[in-house]
Amino acid sequence: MNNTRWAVHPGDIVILPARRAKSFGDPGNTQERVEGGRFGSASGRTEEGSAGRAILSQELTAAMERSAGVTGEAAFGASTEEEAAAMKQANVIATGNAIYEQAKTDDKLAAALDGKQPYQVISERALSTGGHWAFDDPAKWNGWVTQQSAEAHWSVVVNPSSGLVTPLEMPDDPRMAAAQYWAASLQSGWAATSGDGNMKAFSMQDAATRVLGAEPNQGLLDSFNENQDRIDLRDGGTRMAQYFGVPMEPGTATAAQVYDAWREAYQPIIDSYVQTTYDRTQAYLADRNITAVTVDRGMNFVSPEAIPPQLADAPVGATVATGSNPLSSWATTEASASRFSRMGGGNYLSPDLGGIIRATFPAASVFSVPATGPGCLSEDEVITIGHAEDRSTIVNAFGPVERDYAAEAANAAAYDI
Amino acid sequence: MERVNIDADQRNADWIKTVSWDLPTDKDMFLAAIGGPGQLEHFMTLPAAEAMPQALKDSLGLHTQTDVSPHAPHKARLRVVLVDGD
Repeated sequence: MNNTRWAVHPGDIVILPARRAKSFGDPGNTQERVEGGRFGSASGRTEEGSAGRAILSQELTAAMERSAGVTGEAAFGASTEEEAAAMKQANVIATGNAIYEQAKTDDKLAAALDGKQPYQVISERALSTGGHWAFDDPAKWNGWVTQQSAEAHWSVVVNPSSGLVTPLEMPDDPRMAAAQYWAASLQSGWAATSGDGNMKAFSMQDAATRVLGAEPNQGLLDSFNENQDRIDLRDGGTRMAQYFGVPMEPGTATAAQVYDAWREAYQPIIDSYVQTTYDRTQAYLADRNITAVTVDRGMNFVSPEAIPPQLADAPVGATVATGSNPLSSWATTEASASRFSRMGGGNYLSPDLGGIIRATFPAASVFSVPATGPGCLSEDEVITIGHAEDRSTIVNAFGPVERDYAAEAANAAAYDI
Repeated sequence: MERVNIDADQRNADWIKTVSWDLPTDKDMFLAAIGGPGQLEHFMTLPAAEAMPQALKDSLGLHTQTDVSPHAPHKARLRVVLVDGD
């Protein structure tokens, strides 16, 4: 790798050569997945799935101290936020420590953890600029990061609210600190996006295909490739290019090079995170005798023409073959799915055109729940591992429906949307 | 049976992130979580931004424009815009 460092500043014009297409890793043997019974089902194992759904919902509901029969943000008060933060932090420490333990017998992982980490880079920059965070413009950044950085090398990325450990709890062992940092970063990263050309998100999805045998999703891959040109402007891409010595002078830099360098340095950590999160989830489900989970998925479209014909023409109860990202979001409650499918999430986008599908996944195809890793506690999120054989049932038909506008307006007011 | 890709577009893939905010509500911590102030403008284009609490929008210098659709005057379609973000 060329270690020459080039000064690139926000606003600089960087001309990027042609993109290089990325590819997913080996998804594994399809027949093995079929025989292992790991795919989602529209009708099989529904009794087990319902039981698992009930147990999970109860667990998460208890954690939130949610009022019975009340849905929406009105029920998710401060206790939810505090509970969610505590859960995130516990996940970070447990998963980070599991990565740390795995590194004791995995040389590549140990080397990746011992190598230069983003927070070290940030810390060095912070110190070199007199204790100011130097992401883009120190004048615009006066948060706690600035206050912490001069004294504590590790504290510059500490962020309890998003699941990072607190400064006082930051371990002295740099390798353990790195493992916990990554656990926190990947967990909070999922809350921002599951794809969109984001390097962390894509790396997690990619790891799921290789580590967990998930099916690659060509659509995600296309999206990532289409978004490569923007990496240098996002996700710290410009910083990364500098720190990895990727030349960024006009005409020579490619976002793909940044991603390649990033992945070369960190992929063993991402893989370990995916594996340890999965292992923790499996143990969590097994402890509760959950062998399958029935989950709902809200979908929403911007126009009638955008609704896939398999969904638009299908009645309630119909079975549809569904493909997904390697890691995909579902919920154990229909209320969550409905808030997106019928109300259009946070901005009322095409509220008339949504629908809900339901599937039962064996426990082995559950990657994470909020108690074990990424996932939104207040929406009872379950992150599943996608397979080519997945099937779902339509439980709320797609397309225009008769509406009770008064009731929905009242509902919306309750959500303060 | 022809399959439906339920994650074909980013908004559907991130559907649950449009419903509830699962990132820090504190301005500085939120900015740290997304990778710094320079990432804010792009973040606001992500589905997750739809669920951003109003208090956080206010502290970030964002404000919300309300467009009333003639087809559904009972509902407001909200649009978040950067006021003085970088």
